[in-house]
Order: sequence, then C-alpha cells, then structure tokens
Amino acid sequence: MSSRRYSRIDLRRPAAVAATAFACLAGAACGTTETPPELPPSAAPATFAPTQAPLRRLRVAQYQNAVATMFSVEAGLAAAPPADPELNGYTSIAAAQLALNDDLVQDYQRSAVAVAAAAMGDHARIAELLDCNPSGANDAACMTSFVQRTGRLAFRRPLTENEVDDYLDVGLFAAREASDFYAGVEFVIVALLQSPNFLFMVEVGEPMADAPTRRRLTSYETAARMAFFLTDGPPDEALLDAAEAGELDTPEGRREAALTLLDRPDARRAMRTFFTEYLVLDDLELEPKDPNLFPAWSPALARSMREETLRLLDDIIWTRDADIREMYTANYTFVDAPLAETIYGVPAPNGDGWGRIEVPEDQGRSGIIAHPSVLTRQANPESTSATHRGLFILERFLCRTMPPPPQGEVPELPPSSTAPTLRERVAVHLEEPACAGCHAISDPLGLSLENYDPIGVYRDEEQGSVIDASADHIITGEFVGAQGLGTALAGLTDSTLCLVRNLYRHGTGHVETEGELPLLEMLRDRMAEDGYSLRGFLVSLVSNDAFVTIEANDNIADYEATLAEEVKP
Amino acid sequence: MSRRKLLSELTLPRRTLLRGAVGGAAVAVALPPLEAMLNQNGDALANGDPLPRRFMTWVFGTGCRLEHWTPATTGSNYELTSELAPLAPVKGDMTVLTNFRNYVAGRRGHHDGVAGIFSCHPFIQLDPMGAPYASKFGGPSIDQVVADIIGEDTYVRSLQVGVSKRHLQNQGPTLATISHRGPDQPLYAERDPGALYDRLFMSFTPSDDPTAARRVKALDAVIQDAQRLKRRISTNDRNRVDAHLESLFQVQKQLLAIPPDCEFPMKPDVEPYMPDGAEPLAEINAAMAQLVVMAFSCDLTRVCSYMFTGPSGGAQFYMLPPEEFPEHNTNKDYSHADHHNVSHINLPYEQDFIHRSTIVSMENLSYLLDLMKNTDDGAGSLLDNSCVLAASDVAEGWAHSEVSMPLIVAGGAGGRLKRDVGHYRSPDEEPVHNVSLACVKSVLPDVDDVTELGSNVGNYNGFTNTPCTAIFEG
Repeated sequence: MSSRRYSRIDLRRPAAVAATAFACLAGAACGTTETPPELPPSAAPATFAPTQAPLRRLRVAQYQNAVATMFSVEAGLAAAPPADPELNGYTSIAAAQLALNDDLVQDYQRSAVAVAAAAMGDHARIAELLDCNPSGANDAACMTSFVQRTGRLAFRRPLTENEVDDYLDVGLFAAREASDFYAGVEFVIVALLQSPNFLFMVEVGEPMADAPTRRRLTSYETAARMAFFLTDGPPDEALLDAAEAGELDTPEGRREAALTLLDRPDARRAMRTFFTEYLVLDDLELEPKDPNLFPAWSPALARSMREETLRLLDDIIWTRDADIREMYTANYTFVDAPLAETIYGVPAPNGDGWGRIEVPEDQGRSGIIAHPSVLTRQANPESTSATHRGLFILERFLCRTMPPPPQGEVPELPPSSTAPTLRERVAVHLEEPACAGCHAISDPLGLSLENYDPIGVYRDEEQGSVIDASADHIITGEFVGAQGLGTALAGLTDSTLCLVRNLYRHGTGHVETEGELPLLEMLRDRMAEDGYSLRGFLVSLVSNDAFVTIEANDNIADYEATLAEEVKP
Repeated sequence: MSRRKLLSELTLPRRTLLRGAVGGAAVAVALPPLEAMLNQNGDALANGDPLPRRFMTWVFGTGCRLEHWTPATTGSNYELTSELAPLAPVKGDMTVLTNFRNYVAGRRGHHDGVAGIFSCHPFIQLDPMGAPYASKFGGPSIDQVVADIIGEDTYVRSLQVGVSKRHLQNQGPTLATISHRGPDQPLYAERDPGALYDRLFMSFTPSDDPTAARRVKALDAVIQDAQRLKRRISTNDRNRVDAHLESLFQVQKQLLAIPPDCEFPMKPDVEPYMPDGAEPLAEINAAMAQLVVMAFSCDLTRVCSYMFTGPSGGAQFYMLPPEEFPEHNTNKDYSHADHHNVSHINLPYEQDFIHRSTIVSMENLSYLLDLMKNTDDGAGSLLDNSCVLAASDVAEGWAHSEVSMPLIVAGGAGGRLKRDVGHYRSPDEEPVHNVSLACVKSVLPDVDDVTELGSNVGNYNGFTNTPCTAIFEG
C-alpha cells in the first residue's frame, strides 16, 4: 500500500554509556560497569488492573503532526487547532476528559478549511493519495479511492462502508457544485479533519477470550497509541501497514516498532513536550519578575532557560542514553551567551550558539533542580519562595501533594527588616502547630535552594546575612544545599517511580490508578536493571501487554450484540 | 469620552438574520430588524413581548478589604466607601449586597467561591494519587443556564471574555473560567480583544462565498459520523460527543448567518503586554467592554461572562507604585507582584495594597457598567435591560473568608430588578445562591423557566429555590 517501507532495523542503545557516564551517587556503586543487555519484553504483573480508554483529543502538536504526515509540511503549518487546556498537570489528561464547545468546534472548522487549501497546493501528494486519474468532476470511483486512502490516514484505520459513503457524498457534492473534481477532494479533507474519528483517539478494543470485562486494543488502535505516545505524531502508512499485517500484536513486534519510532527526531520533540509539562516550564516567558530587582529578566532569557533544561535532558536521554537520575545530579549543563553571562557568570560559549559547560563548583548546583528555569518558575516576582519550591519538589519528584492551606487566621510573618533571610521569615510556619503539619514537609526542601535568587542566580547572602541551606527532612533525611538534595533524590526509589508515574499520566491521559501501580513499579525496577535508561523504559512500557489492555466500556457489549443481530439474515 | 462617542454613532441595533438550510443550500430567512419590532413607546416589542434581556457574570479575583468595602448604612441613601467610590456613576443602577454566605464552602479557598456563586453546585475534586490538585464545576454555571434559554437564537450563544492573562490555569477548570456547560465542558475566556473582534464581527460567511454550502455539507458528514461513533463508546464519552454534536449544529447555523445591520466597530489594537512585562489592564478592559457592549447592542449575543482578574490570579497592578507606609517603616514595590501572593501576606502594607487594587478593579467594573448605561437600547439603556452579577471568589483573600464576599447586582433586567435598594445587608447570612437565582430569573422570558439552581453534596449545599427578594421584583 505504501511506497515507503517500514524500517525494522533493531537500533540498540549505544553501548557502555549508561553506567560509565553516570556520576557517583550516594549509596550507588561507582566506577565502570558492564552495560546491561537490552531487556526482553516483560509480561504484565498478575495484579495489574486496566482502566477504560476514554476518547482523547489530539493535542496541538499531535494534530499538527498528523496533518503534516497526511499531506505536507505546509499543510501542517496551516493547521491552527485550539490551544490545549491542562488538568492534573497534563494537557493529555484534559484531552481525555473535557468536551468540545462552540468556540473550539469553530476553530477546528477554520483549521480544517485552511489545511485543506494548503494541502491542495502539493499536487504530487494529492496525486499519490488519489491513486487514480479522475475522468471528470463526477468520477465517483476515483473519489472513493481518495476517501479510502486519506480516510485511513485520518482515522488511523480503514473506513467502514457507511463512512466512505458519507465522505464520498461531500466530495461529489462539492465537485458537482464547482464543476471541479479537485474541489471535491478539498472538501473531503475539510470534512475528515472535523470528524471526531480524526480529532480524538478512539480506543474501543476487541474482546479477550479469557477476560470478559477486558479488551485488547485492535492492531490499528495499538499503532495510533504507540505513535502518538512516542512521537506526538500519527502512525504513518508504513506503521499502519505493519498493524494491518498483525506485527504489533506481539510484545516483540511492538518492541521493534518502538525502537524505530524512538529513532525519529519526533521522539525527541515529544519527550521535550513531556518534560516541559512535567517541570511546568510552558509559558515561562510570561512569568512576572520585578523589573527593578531583576532587570536581566526577559522573555528571551526565559526561553534560553527552558532550552537549557531541555538540552540537558536531550543529552542524558538521547545523546548518551545515560542514567536518567543524572537529571538530579549532573554537574554540567548547556548555556548560550545570555545564560553564561547573566546566570552562571562564565564566559559565553564560542560562536553564537550553545555550548556545554561544567557548572562552577562554588555554585553548588546539581542537575535540573538547580536550573534557573525551575528556580525561576517556583519563585515569586520579587522574592524566592520556600513553599513553592518545596511543594514543587514534593509533587513532581516524589508524587506527594499537600492539603490546602487552612481558612481563617494566618500568622503574621516578620518583615525583612528584622528577619533578613527567608529561613528567619518563615520560621513561624515551622513553629506554629497549625502550620507546621504541612510547612515542615514543604519548606525545608525549598530552603535548601535559597542560594539561588528568584531568577536562579547564585548568592551566598540575603541582605547581608549568610544563607543556611541545610535541611533535615522526613523523606530525605539530613542534607545540605542543591547537591545534597540532588543526591538524596537520586538515591530514592520514589523519585524514579514518580518520574515513571508522570510519564504514564502524560502518555495515557489519566492519573494512574491503584490497579496500574504494580505495572509501573515493575517497569521502574526493570529500568533500574537497565542502567536507568528512560529510552529503555519507553520500550518496555509499550511492549508490555498491559499497554494494549483496557477495561471494556459500559456500552460495548450491547453494541456488539446489536451488530451481531444486524448481521443475521 | 471619545470611546463612548464611537458607540453613539451606531445605527440602531438590528437582530442577526439566520438563513435556513434546505438540502445544504442557503436560503435567506430574514428576521425583522429590532426597531421595526418595537411598539410605539420603544419599551417592548410590538407583539407585547419584552425587549431582549442580557445577562452577565463578572468576577475579580481574591476579594477586598471588608473595612473599606462595606457601607456603614443600608438603604438607597448609603454612602459609597473608598473601594466602592469608583462606581459613583452607576450608584443608582446597582445594589450592594453584604453579609451573604456561600454555603459551598470549607474545602478549598477560591474554588469554593466561584463554584458557589457562579454555579451553586459543589465543585468536583480531582486529586487522585498524588497528582497536582484540580477541580471541576459540579454543574452548569448560571450564565449557561441562562444561555440555554435565551442564547439559542443569537449568533453566539454566550460570550466568555477576560482581561488579565495572569490567571490560575493549573488547578483545573474551576479557577480557569467561570463559564461551564457542565463538569467536562468549561468555556474558556478570550483575553485578546483582537481575537474576540474576529470571532464576533469577522466570522460571518461573505454572502458571495460559494463554499458555504460545501462547508455545511461537510458538517453533515461529520454529524453522521459522530452519531455513529456514539454507539460504541462509554456513556461518559457519549455525553462528550453530544456536546460536540450540539456545537457542530451551532457552527453549521453560524455558517448560514447574515451579519446584523449594525455598524461594526474598528478592530481594537491593544498590546497584550507593556514593555516591562505588565499587562495594560485598563486598556484591555476598555477594549473588551466596548466589544461586549457592541455584541449586546447588535444582539449578536445576550449572555456574557467577564473575568477581569482570575480567582487566585496573579494579576499585576502596575498602576500602584510603592507608597510610603510610615507605620511599617518599609517602602515595598508590589507594582509587579503576583496579586494573590500579596493577598496572603497579612501585614498592613500588603493588605493596603490589596485595598488599593480593589479600587482599581471597581474602576474597571465602573467603566463597563457606565458604558452599558450610556448605550441606547429601545427606549432605555442597555443597562436597563441587563442583569450584571459582579462578585469575587472570597471576601478577604488572606483568610479565604466566605461570608460577605464582594457582591453587586447592577441593571434593571427590563424591570425585574429593584433599582432603589442601594445597600442591602442580610440580617441572617442569607445564601449567596439566592442572589444567583434572582439574577437568573430576572433575565428569562418567563421567570418560571428556572425555579431552582444548584445542588448539595454532603455538607456543601448550594441548592436554592428561593430567589433573593431584596433585589428581585418578580
């Protein structure tokens, strides 16, 4: 069906990088170790309980990539889908829960019209999708061919007869009105791109013989789930062909397909999207900072900060396929001239681009937890915040949330004239019993990062008083500063489990349930055996049978019974 | 004011004309223009029906300073306090309501307030498994209850607009917007005046556009497709696809609409941010207010929600430079601070800043209400035919208090709202939900179209079937 063959080359991780490049961690073995072999796919844990798979709206990037894959880069650029709202930390969770409304449907309509017009500009691609030469405006056979071919890409599965008829109707109506076959083609595109079957991932599954309340994703649904998760893009024709051939129905087949998908630049971009949401770095450029106190703050500097963090993660995950826990401990980073000069106080990299630097030792930084991006986001416009920074670490790296602040009386904090350091100002939060229940858990973590001001510049003192960055915390124990915190986080099983849980939320569009935790715990342990390779984790997640198992929805049994009834003579 | 002059130059508003679709082809079905439908006095339609009424919910974030908000005396001769002073031009067109209680309260500051006042349903908490906290409205917001009844025949069923973009977006739909068609259908506000302009005034299909019928036909196929999809998905997803279908029908109808015979304004040109990063709140508010008034006036819509600043939002009040505060021996500059953060600092200077920011919020509300008052609508003004419910999510931000949150009802709702009440102070902490119900009833064709609002879950009881009689004429 496709001229492009789907590559099935097994691209293994670069050898001997995972363990050797990893900085020594407290409690972890140091020195050179053998790179673990690629792990074979694992079975789902016996206690795993799947969840239903609600309709998931394509996120902006997924929509744009879908259009670009179907038609052309220009068509992708013409796409203007409405923005993604967020829920429980992820746009993909909102995509699985929220419904459309008038404004959004109008936006999708305009986007579909614009994409179709752009798509018609690529005559070669349209000819490829047609696979026939229209004999005239009313060539129904040729229009049918276009509907089937393009519809399969749009819906990520072959169209049913009814569906073909409906979209064929649109094409023939438009072609007749305009006396132009290609006007029909254009409005078939306009229609397909507004269908819920295009705008949403539809995952209904097929029956599993041994588990009546469970279903297994169809081969096509599997292809779409894998491709959208790993690349933020649709399955291309080659992957759909692989699905049609049943190649994705086995863990081994999915593993091979995943390795191929992960080798595409789209996979890196998709992981950047995840980390941007995970670390709450979207719209960092809109973060308000007091211009009198922080004249260096600008949207451009904010973009550089986010790029720094994403480059370090790129380096750990893709370039080196290293231990993902280096995100807490790395003593190197990537800077451009503004970051080098404004934040780190080091010479700008050669040329006008980005360069790798060793972080100055006396700044005590440690991975992304002491990156200016994160420190800036979790601070106030005019001051740092022990609570914001502490809650962020608890929530994002340890998956712990705090109850809301109490309503009613709140204690008065001393002014900075009598309490020069933040530790002194918030001391009352740690002493008052009504406050300490929560603040004693959040604030010590945040206070350990007090050596970094509201835009992440290193400082020894606040208002002439030396900053004390030591902490004694119920989860991490005693430590000092960012390096102590980074080492503590890297040593905790909870931190990698929390990362995996967040990746799962982003990838599946729901907060993991109790029934899914056994799967994530098992996959985390396997990741530990595999040198903490995040790439390896992605492969083992999608190859596991749990990835393609869902709970039956409440209407599917009736629907299938009705279908069976309709088929009877 | 020059801005107002622009509006007064308008021709009389006329109603949106809707074309009907016959077999995918457009057929003009002209509704008579509004003035042709009026009786001789211009105070009702010729057939005796009242003029269309308009409904607006309006919110500013994070409350006030009650000592500077609450008038000392009640009745129509009350004296405006410092925080209410900006509303002087519309003092005779509004009622200040104090000592009302939000009974959807006690779970989460800010969430309680907007859900209680603007929907009367306890919100739904989504905080599973250590994920970031989020909540959804528990039922439709009151503007959508109204839109379901009076929004069906207008070009846009309801408008959602906002001014400050620094509003909290990461605690779920409850704080992100005050308009919700249901728990899973938040309607997000447009905060770019230019984009709102395009949506309202530039989205009509040109009458010579040959593709209109094709786009309608394309939507026919999509509607078929969505209806087939519904058969095999979960009940919850069926509800989502029903919402999708409802909007597909609406967009199809919009494709066939003819622009009203109403002189459209110029496209506003307001920078979203000032060079130092702050938002030009007053300028954006003025542009938004003009567009909303124009949309009401041209009868493009009859329902609007308006978020000046968001609940728990981080708006910057750049117009409030540091002031000497001798008692506290400090000179802090909060002109670029996060409004909600400052509200939680229980120190005199910070709370004075909140006081002064409340005055700014009321100046911006006053601009909008005054514009409505100075816009002709039939024999009276737009404000005469509207109900505006203005409130905040808490009474005092630092305490998240839920009694006596700022509450103002403006307009006459075509005679349904009392205009001479002035300041009404509830003797016994009446439910704020009764005010919500009174406002909803005031704008309906028949006050009995809605007899109750809200619901109760556990201890959180927003249910009401007793409209606040202090303001509601009936």
